[in-house]
Amino acid sequence: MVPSQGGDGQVTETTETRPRALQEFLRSIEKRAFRIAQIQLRHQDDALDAVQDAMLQLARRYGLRPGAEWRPLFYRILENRIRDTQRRRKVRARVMAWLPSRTDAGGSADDGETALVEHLPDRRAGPEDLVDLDQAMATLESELRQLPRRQRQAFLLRNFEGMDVAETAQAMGCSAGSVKTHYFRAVHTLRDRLRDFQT
Amino acid sequence: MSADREPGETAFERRSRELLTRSADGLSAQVRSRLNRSRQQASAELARNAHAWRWRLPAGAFAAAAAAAVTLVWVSPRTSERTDPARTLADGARVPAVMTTGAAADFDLLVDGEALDLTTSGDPAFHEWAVAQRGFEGPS
Repeated sequence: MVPSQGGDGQVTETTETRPRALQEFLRSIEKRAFRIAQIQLRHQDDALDAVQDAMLQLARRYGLRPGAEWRPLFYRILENRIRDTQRRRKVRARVMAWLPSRTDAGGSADDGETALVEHLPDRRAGPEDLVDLDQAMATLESELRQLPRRQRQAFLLRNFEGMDVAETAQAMGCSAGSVKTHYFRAVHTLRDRLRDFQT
Repeated sequence: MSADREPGETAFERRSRELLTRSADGLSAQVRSRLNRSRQQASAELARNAHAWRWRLPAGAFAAAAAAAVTLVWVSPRTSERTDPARTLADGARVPAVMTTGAAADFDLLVDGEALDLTTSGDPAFHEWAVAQRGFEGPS
């Protein structure tokens, strides 16, 4: 049973079956959730922490809600967690910009998070990753990171996670019209930049 | 991930999804192990919460029933005492039973049609006589 698909049977689920249903749901989305977090955070451990927090929050706060509501709720929690991490990085980058060692090194913190992220270990640098991810994926990932946050979010949830417009709107906390606009712009921007992907 | 795609999906969208899906399927064992642990933790958390709710609901129902019982047994007679004019009898005569037992007495009054007639018929001569018999000096 995959609760994210919804259905009347979920209303009659007992408290014994809920944990098992949640586990099935999480199993069905965890890999894509991790990749979505990793693309945005550019750091494996931070992405794993974000996914773990989102899973626990979902279980604590929404575990007894109908399974059909889990997916948009989970991605909303995950997106908030990703944003929190990015904000913390920005603050850290600003603080570090004031330190003499950073100033001497010539590092500029004008671009906030980017300045710090440049010093994070790059997931693609490992030999294992080089085998797993080809150049096309690396290029797509790089272009995705350059999109505005909302466009990137809409693209990942709609295209990668396969959520419909209504679910995506719920996860992003905006209207269905905004989702369509963000997604349309994201697709057009990426398509223009990645013409090789057409074939 | 849902398989049903919008009809107007472009080749670019399909290709992007394939790449992203492939990258998700090729995660390292270390990452998969960590995700598995996180999933187990979340599941255990929900099991704890669900177990707690199983006991909270009956306990709440019991508390509500107990509160209702206390209200019936304790509060109703006290209300009757406050409003019972027979308490003002000057000579300490016995208070009529119909005025002393609160909600239960009211219920008896409604069930007993004859008694109800007596109280609602508005026979002032009888009431004056009854008060005179007991020296009642309550409100007119």
